[in-house]
Amino acid sequence: MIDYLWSRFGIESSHFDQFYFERTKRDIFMLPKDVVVDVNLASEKVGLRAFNSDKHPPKPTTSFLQRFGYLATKSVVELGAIELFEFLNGRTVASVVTDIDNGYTLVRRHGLAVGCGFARDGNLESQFPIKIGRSVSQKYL
Amino acid sequence: MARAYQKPAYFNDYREFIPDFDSFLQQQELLPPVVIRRNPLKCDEKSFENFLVRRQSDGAFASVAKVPFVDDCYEIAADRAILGGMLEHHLGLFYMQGASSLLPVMALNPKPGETILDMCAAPGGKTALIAQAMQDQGLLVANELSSGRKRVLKANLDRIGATNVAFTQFAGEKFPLTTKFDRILLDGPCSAEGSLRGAWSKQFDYQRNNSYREGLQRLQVKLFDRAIELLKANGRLVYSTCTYDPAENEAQVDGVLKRHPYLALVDSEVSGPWCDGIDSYRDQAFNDSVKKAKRVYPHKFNSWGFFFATFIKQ
Repeated sequence: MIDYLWSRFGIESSHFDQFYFERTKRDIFMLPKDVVVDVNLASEKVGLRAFNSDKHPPKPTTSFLQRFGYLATKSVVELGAIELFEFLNGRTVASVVTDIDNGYTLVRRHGLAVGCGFARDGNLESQFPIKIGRSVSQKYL
Repeated sequence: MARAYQKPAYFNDYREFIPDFDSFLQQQELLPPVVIRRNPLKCDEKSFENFLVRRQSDGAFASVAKVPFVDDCYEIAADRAILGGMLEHHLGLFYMQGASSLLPVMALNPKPGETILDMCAAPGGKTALIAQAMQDQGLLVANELSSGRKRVLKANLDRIGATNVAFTQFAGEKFPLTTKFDRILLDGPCSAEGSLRGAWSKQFDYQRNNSYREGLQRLQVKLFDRAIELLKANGRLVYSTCTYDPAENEAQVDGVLKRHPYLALVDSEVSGPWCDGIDSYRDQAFNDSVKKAKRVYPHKFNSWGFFFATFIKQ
């Protein structure tokens, strides 16, 4: 994961020194190294769901990118309001990532990490959860 | 459907201990301000300032003012619905929260690397603040019995970007004793009189009867006793409610001090215009130290009414 974050997004490994990644059947969670959870308590996975591991390469989750996306130095696109509205509603945005290799891409707005898209031949396919996207007001994008 | 607030005879019983009672009633009739708190896990001060300026210039916020006594909180002149639909809200840059609800967490004073329990955690505003103070170090257990409320709790903590939270779903009074905690927040069920401002809804029932209240008080006793069992020696416990009723506040604190003599009520070390806990109510006199508990009134601090008390297990 650490290597992938560096090669795709340019995020340095040192930012994750205090975390470890734990794989489940479908997801990869990240949690602090010092966390020890009593088996009598935990009924579900502890930590931030960071990647969907059933995809190759693993897809960074919206939660992960919104938390750590500010560290990314490449595979990043800043969208305008109209393009962002399309992205939030699950649609492909044409010709906005012509300078980015095919693969997962961080979407930003006003410099803020919004979520994940997939760059394919210059177009950006939305990977943003539509349910959340539709609840975002268009007026103040 | 909320309807216009009607000045209730309901609060008259509290005239004897709420200072400037008429001002209190007047303030109760006003809606509390809309307050947002910056999420330092996702947003530094500079970026947040940019966001506030941008939203003022595009007309979303008519004004912005820093809230005194609590860190990173801003009073926003804007409709709650506008804030709730805003992109930055969905990104977790801020959390909408009554300013007074931060005080119990400030009294808890969570530290990175500790093991901390939020015993009745939903909807998660205080849990989020604890997680932020822990800076991704240590374990925060967020417990919530109700499945529906737990979903909301998880969604809020996910939005905040917390990495160190374990969600559990136990009845607080039966929480397993297998782990001991450095700090515990017990912000349990209460009659929520402090949240009655400006309007009231069907959720708040003026006719709440004695058996409902007695049931709440019995549950508070059980939660309190279990929290003390779960606390490490020298551990810190904060008990809080959003109600004015002394039976749920000072009487609970007085009772727990009697049942657990090794528990000490301490100064919360959170400065602000709070009032001391009262020393008696009707025919009941409380332990002298109960004054160390704090009452938050809306005419002294423009937010929800609150009560909090801080204990150390000796």
